[in-house]
Amino acid sequence: MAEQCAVIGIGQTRHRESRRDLSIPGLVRDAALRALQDADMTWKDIDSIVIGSAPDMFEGVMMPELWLSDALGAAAKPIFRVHTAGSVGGSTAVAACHLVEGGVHEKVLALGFEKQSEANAMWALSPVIPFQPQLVAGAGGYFAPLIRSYIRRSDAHPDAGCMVAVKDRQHGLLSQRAPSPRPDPRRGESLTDALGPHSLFGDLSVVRRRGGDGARQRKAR
Amino acid sequence: MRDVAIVSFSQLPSVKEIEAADEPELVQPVTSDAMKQVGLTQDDIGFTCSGSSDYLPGRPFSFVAAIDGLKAWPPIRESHVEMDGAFALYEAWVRLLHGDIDTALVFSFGKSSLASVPDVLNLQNDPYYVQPLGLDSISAAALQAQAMIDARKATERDFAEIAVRSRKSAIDNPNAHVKGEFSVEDMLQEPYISSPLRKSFCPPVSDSAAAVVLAAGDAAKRLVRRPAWIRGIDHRTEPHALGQRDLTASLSARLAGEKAGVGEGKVDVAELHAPFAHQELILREALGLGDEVDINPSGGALAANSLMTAGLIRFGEAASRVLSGAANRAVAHATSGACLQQNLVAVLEGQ
Repeated sequence: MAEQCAVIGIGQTRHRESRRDLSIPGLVRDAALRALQDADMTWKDIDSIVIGSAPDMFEGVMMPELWLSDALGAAAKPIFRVHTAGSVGGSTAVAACHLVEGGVHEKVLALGFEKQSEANAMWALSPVIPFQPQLVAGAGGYFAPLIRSYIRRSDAHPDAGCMVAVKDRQHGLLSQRAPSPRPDPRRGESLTDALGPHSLFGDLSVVRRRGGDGARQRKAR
Repeated sequence: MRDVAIVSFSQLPSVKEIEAADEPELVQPVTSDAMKQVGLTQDDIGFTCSGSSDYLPGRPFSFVAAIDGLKAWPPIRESHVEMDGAFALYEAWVRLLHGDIDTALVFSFGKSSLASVPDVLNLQNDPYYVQPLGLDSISAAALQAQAMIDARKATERDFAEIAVRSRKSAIDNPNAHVKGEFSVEDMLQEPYISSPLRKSFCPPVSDSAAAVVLAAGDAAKRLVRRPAWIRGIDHRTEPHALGQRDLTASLSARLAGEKAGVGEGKVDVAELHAPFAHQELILREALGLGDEVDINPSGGALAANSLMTAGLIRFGEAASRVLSGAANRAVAHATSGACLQQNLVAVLEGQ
């Protein structure tokens, strides 16, 4: 590949169950400004913007790159929208790197966001499809059988999911921008706490699943 | 920068409704045909990229289902944009510049018949202040058309003449949806849908799918006698709110056209993605296309308008004329958003 690509600044909003203090444009702009500040750059330094989120129904806005172009200073610039399933944050970074590596642009702003509190993210995944019984399950209903299958096939410990969740939440205590961990931010969370809440979908319990609002952004050069 | 070309193009005829076809059934015929034209299979493809919108079928991640129309095992390098397929072509072009792979497959599908398109497009607006007002795509385009009349840049007769010419050109296009000999006078007698737009100044609502194969350097020369080389390609956007733009001109199309090098040579043919008749005038001015340029010989989006594919079809139609030798230098254009908010422009050349 012709050009080397590096991350030169990152920005991340505070993650909360609901960021009622910010609109969707406010959320993405907050992440963008933090990344620009981190890289000691301004909007004028950016050649191109790559924005990723999926699916559109999570926020209820079709092709939101059109609406969010103002908040990201995209007027008269290229803005490119990435949309893959589950992998969209990573795919956004990949698409932005490709622009730099291909020699098309020098400085690219890559941004991913979700504001799940402004729509019904859970049920966006369970629409009524003609001639099919509605899978009244949301994301949890899709993932619980996969988790159960994984545990059975790999002979993993039945509490493997809880152990990972507890470890990640404890690491989250070190991050200023992660959502506040349960049950007590000062104390962290024990495996006993994690096993406590009742099951949502089979092996998927409340502690293992977490939605929320947040945007992350990085710039590549 | 590496030379990349369009080497084949396939589309489903645009019709009012392709009945009972799910995503793989829309995609498989065009992807396999585009590859077959140049003797390739999915195993020969280095990168696959698609464009579509979940809001047409009304279900999340509908593109994932479309992948079942390909051979995606063992796993393939793949990406998807929630934009017109022409933007997927742009991503594939960027990927081919890296030099490690030589071919890419691009496809898109749009089954617009499943819902009321003008109402669905309302969801592109600001959800706090504009969506609740019910501004649909036809009303937004009507504001733009009225702005052109107020600025004395066009008359309703100009709109009718464009619509008549487009549907006449489409007679020769077996894939077009609305075609035939119409009269300007009759069109001007049609009732307004949303003043000053009459039915004939608006696009039909079509179902279709399209696919393109891209190849780089020597690979392109091996696959076809006369590749449609992408000499320049660029896209730009504008502020979203209609009140923040001069609706009678397109700054973003002008910038993209300059960056793509439209003005650096004689243009034989241009395929412009102008869903509404008046938008052709705006795009011609922005891209500096004079009377000598053959505009939308396929009939354009006024003759066939499947959402998310109409832009990629413009690229395919322009490329086919270069591939066949009918044109040497062609302009391909795709748009996204209300009133031409975002524009993608490419220059294709035979030599």
